[in-house]
Amino acid sequence: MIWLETIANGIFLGGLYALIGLGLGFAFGVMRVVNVAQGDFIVAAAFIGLFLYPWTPVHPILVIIPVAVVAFLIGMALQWLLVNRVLGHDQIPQILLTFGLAIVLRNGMVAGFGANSQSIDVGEMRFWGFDFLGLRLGVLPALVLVIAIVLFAALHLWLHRSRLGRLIRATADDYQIVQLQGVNYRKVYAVAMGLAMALSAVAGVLLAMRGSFTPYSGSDRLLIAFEVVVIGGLGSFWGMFLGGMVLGVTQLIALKLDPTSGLMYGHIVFFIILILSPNGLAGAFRNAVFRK
Amino acid sequence: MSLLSVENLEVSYGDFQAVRGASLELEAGQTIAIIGANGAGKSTLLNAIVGLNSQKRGTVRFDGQDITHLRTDRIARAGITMVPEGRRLFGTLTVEDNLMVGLAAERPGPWTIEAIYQLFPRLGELRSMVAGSLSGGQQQMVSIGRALMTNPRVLLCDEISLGLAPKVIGDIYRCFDAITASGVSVVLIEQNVVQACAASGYVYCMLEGRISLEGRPQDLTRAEITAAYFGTEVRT
Amino acid sequence: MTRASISSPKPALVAAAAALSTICLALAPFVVREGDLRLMIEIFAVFTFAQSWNFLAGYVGLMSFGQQLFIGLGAYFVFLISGKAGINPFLLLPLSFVFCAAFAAVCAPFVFRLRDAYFAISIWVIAEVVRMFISQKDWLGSVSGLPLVATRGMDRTVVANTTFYFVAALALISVFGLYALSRSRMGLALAAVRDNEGSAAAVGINVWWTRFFGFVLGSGLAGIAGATYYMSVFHVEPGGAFDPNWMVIMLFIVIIGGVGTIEGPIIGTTIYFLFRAWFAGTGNLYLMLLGAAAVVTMLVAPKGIWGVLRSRLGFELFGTRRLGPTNHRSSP
Repeated sequence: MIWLETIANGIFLGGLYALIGLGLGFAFGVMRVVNVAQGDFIVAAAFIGLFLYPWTPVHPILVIIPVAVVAFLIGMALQWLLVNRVLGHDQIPQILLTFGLAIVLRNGMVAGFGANSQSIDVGEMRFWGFDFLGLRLGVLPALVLVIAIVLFAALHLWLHRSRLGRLIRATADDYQIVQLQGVNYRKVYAVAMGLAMALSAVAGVLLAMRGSFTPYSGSDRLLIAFEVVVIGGLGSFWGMFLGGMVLGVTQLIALKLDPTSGLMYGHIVFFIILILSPNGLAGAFRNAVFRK
Repeated sequence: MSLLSVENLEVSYGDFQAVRGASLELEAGQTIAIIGANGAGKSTLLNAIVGLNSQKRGTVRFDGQDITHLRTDRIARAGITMVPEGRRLFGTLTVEDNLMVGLAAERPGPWTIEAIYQLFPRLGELRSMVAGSLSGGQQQMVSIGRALMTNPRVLLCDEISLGLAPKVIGDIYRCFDAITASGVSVVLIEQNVVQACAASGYVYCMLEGRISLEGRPQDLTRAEITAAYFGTEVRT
Repeated sequence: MTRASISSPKPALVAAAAALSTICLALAPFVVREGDLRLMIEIFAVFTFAQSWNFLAGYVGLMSFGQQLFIGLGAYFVFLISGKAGINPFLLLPLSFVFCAAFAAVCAPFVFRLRDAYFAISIWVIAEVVRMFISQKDWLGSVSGLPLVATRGMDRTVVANTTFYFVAALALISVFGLYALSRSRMGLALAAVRDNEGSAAAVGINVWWTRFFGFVLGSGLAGIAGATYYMSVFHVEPGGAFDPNWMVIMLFIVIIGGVGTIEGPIIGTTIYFLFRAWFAGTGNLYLMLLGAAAVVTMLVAPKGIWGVLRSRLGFELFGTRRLGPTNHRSSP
């Protein structure tokens, strides 16, 4: 029974990991840009959440909304002011640019807020539980999974049903040709980066509610995001979701067996999957959303 | 004054100069063709007109305005678009989504989604198919339809007959009567000289980055065209 | 293109420079005080780290964010074997190159399935796994690390001087060896693979093996440099040896100086140590400055300081630079 609970909790955590990966994977799918600063932006979003939640009406968990809005604007600005300037055939400049940004952000947060561990307090909710098929599960982790599923589905629908979503998919397919239809692909990129940041920011805040974070947590977050995207098969939507589940379940089982292992077994499982299936779990039945 | 005029355009890729001072004129309502062998600089010239190639000198004027250094999306919004070589559809989008992307140019006009389906009835039946799965001819129709959806004043067509069966080529070219009738001026790039002469009112021949010959199709002899096309001397 | 107008000296001149700098470095321990010698060891080690990363990113076209993996592996190899088996650690230094190269060779088939940033981060993941593994195992010293016991019976000056000679040799190799390599047949193949995989394959270059060779060589170099550096510190612990901040320093040096050039990291290393001398007391501000400098360089001069100087002066010290990855951003 305890193992079933662990697996269920792993799936809850996995939804959150999938959400962490979604931002990175979405940005990669649309722009072929890998934002190495994503992990540190996730932590920055948690700090923004930390400041905003005391003022959030109704319930602290709703702080994800203002944080997502702020992150969207930051993402647009990041793309517009910095990344768009180094776009090109060669990926090295954009990767190095975002790496530099990550260093600035991380050390800026240490300087500004100290290196202490922080957490966003959601009050009583943290202790709420419910019984499901004889398992005792937490309300907050389950709610986080629901939010993750809703965001995945919403993004998917929006991309396929809306006018702007259509332009984003078209730009992902061929950024040169969309210009011939009067689309400024740099603007589309800015919106896409804003969205990627907003999704990551929500993940960052939820992570800060479930557990704790320090300014140094960015590297771990980035590695999780990266593994989710690679396991998912580089840009496949639902593959990423599956990737998050695999990592979440692995990590919680490993922590039960070896409480000091941290993320190590997650990393190892990632490599095993990479060895067995280079295109990730979704490689075989790959979703065609972003395929190039 | 002509609708589109190119004066002394030079375009290079790094060290290589692909277009070496080409000039051409397109009047409103007219269809012109650019012929020439592979590597003559035809595609480079069209890409430079729509701003997909940044290393260039010379002037491109559209409706009296200098658009030489305008961004591609601005040029499209001004009313010049292109059917690119190799069709370049948005492969993961459906046929209808591909067409709808053209709405981004925000140019109202006769070309609506219904008008496109009227022009190419087959596309109406295929509207929810993923564009990447269509046949070459169907893809070319989508590519032309997608360009028309921006309601252009000038439509540049880069090798639309390339790799298609003769019957399909005939079908596609027949549609150009309706396109020009709606007021669109057309620039065709063709390797097929007969096709180009039949479809256009004025022909430019390119050779090694220069215009080697121009004139109305009926005024040009076969020998002249052959010489301008392949760069051999005309033996008289 | 400016390539044709840039003058570069004859190989004979470079050979003379190599001989001269070898003599200078050979004499250094006799004229330099011990404290300065230690700083010089660090400078040369950090320079070699940077050069190994520069080789991978700028010459092989493989950008890694996990170069600290090999620094730590090399150090642990020497500390562990010399401590357990009582072997003279200086004899183990060349083997640390072999060990790290072999480790890279084993990883290559898996990480080569990933490209660009995903490749870069996958090495970082390996570094994390190794760091966590070592932190958990008592026989590897766990979190508190391993001391260098094998040199305790030796003369301090001899240890310091030998370490210096090793690291100086590595720095020289990473300049003149890289120069020689990039002018060789292999160097041409590497440049071809970096610039255009497809055309490289079309002219008969085995893309996979060429890249493999570069990866193994660059990893081995970082490994032996890491081992030598930690010989001067006498203690290694996982948090420090596998610290991603090594990566930050390497990136800073190479980006500021100019990726894909031999001269760039020399400039970058100089600037880095000056920076450190001036700002080290400011803690995080100092790291922020390193990051900000990298961002600004990418925006203003992606070819780095040497790239700018080179095109201004029309001169280069080592005539090896072929069209680099940051060079061919032509319009599509």
